[in-house]
Amino acid sequence: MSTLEILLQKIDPRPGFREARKSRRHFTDYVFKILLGIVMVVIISPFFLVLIEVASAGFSQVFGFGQGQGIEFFTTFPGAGLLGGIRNAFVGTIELIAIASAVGIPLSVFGAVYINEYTRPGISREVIEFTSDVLAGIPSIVFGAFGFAFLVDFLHLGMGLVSGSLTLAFMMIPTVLRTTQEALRQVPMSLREASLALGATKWSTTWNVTLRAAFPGVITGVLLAIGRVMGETAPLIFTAGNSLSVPTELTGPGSWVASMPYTIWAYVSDPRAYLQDKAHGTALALMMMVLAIDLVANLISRKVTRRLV
Amino acid sequence: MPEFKHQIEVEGLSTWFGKKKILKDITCHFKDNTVTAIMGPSGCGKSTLLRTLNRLNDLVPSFKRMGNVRFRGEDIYGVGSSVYDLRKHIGMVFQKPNPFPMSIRENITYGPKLHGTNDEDDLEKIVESSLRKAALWDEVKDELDHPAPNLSGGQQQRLCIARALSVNPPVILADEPVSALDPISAAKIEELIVELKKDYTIILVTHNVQQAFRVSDQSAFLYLGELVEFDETKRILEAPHDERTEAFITGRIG
Repeated sequence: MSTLEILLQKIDPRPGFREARKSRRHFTDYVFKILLGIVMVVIISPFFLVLIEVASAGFSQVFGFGQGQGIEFFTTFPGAGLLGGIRNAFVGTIELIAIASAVGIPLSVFGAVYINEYTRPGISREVIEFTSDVLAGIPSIVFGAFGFAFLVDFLHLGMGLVSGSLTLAFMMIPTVLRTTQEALRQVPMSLREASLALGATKWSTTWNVTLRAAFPGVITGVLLAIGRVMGETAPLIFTAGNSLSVPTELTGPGSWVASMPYTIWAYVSDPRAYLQDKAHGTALALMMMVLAIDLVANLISRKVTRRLV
Repeated sequence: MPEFKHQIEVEGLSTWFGKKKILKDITCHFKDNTVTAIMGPSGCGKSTLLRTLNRLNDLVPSFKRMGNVRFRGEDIYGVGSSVYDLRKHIGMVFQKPNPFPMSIRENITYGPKLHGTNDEDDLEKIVESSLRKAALWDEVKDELDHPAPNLSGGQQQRLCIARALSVNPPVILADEPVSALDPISAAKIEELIVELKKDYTIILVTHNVQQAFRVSDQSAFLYLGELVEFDETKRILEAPHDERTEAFITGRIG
C-alpha cells in the first residue's frame, strides 16, 4: 500500500467508493448499491412522515399535562364539547379487540387444525382455502355491511359491543386460519409419526406436538390479524355504534361502544380545531398500542421458540 | 394370553398403496433378543414392511392389507386390538432424528405421561434409565432442561432411541436409523443397537449390507416386494441361495 492509498483510506474508508474508480464493472456495481439504498429510503420514508405528522400534533395530547392530556387523555371521558380524553374509545377498542380475539382466534386455529390434520386433501379443502384467501382480501367495509345485515339486522343483535366485536372476529378468521395452516404445514410429518409411534392419540399428538411446533407461526398470524382489525373503522361504523361513555349492557343502546379508529375518523371530520389534535393523539396512541402488542407477542414467541429450537 | 413362539410373526402379508402392490405374500418372524435386518434396494418395500408392524401405514388413506401380523400371538389388525397399546409395546426410531420441540427431559417423559405415569419420581427414574440405555446420559445429565433440537445429529438420534425406550417396549423398529448421520455418530448408534438386543427385539431396516453384517443376527432380503431370503445374516451374506441376493450383496443391484 502506498502512502497515497493509506491517506485515501483515511479520508474515505468505504471500499466501494475507491473500488468504483477501478473499472466499468466496479462502477456499475457501486451505482446499483447506491440505487438500492435510495429505494430503501423511499420505502421507509412514508412511515416516518406519518409518524412525524401524527406525533407533531398528537404528542402533546398523549404526553402533555393540560386538561384531558397525558394520563387524563386515557382516563377521562370526552365530556362537554369533547374537551376531555378518549377513555370511551380507549376502553372500547380494548373490549372490542379482546372479544374479537377470544372468539376469532380459537375458531380459526382449531379450524385450521381440523382442515390440515383431520381432512384429506381434496375439493372441500381447496374450497375452504380459496374462500378464506378471498375473504382475506375483501375490503373491510364489506365486512361492515355484512355485520350490519347479518348480525345487527337478521339476528336482531342490534348495534353495539357484540355485533362490533363479532364483525371484527369475522375479519380476523381468514388471516389467522391461513397463517396457522401454513405453520402446521411446516411441521415435519415425522414429528407427528414419532408421537403416534409412542402410542399417542391423534388429538394428543396434534395438541402437544404439532401445534406446539407451529406456535411461532401461529403467533405471527394472530399478531397480523389483531394489528389489522385494531385500526379498522369501516367494519364498526354500522355495527358498533358510538358512545361518549363505555358500554354498560350487552344489548341495546347501552352496549354501544366507541373505538379509537372511529373516534379518529369522527374527530378529523369535525370542524373544531382542537379535535384535530385529539384525533392525532388518538392515532399516536393506537400506533403505540399496536407496537406494544407486537413487542409482547414477539417476546412470547421468542420465549417459546427458545424452548423449541 | 395366546401362545406364541416369536414376538412378531408375519404370515402371508400383502400390502397395497392404492392399486400399487408393495409387499407380496411375506411370511417371516422376528426372534426375541435378536437384531433382524430387513435389507434390499430402494423401493423394495422395507419401510412399508416395518411400518406395517406398528400400523403406522394406517395413516395413509390408500393403504390396504391382506394376511396376518401377530404380536405376541395376537392379530394386531384384529377387531379388538388397540393401536395405542400396540404402539406402546413396539417402539420406533426413524431415519432422520426427530426430537420433539421440547426440552430433553420432556422428550423422554412424553411417552410415559401418555400412558398414565405422572409421578415425578417415577418419571425422573425413567429419564435417567432411558438416557443411560441410549448412552446419552453422561453427555446431557446437566442440561436436561435444554431444548432437544440444540443437540448434535448423533445425540438427537440417541435421544430418539431413549424416547422410544421410555415406555419400555419389548420390540424396537428402526428405519435406517444411521443413514442421516456422520460415520462416527453412526458407529455409536450401531454399537448401541448391538448392546440393546440383550433386552429388546430389534428390527432394523437398512440398505447397507456391511451394516447388516456388523449388527444383525438374522436377515430378510426383500426385492421388489418379495421376500427373497430369510435366514441367519451370516449364511445369507456368505452363501446366498438366490442370485438376486448375490447381486445385491456384491453391489450389482442397489
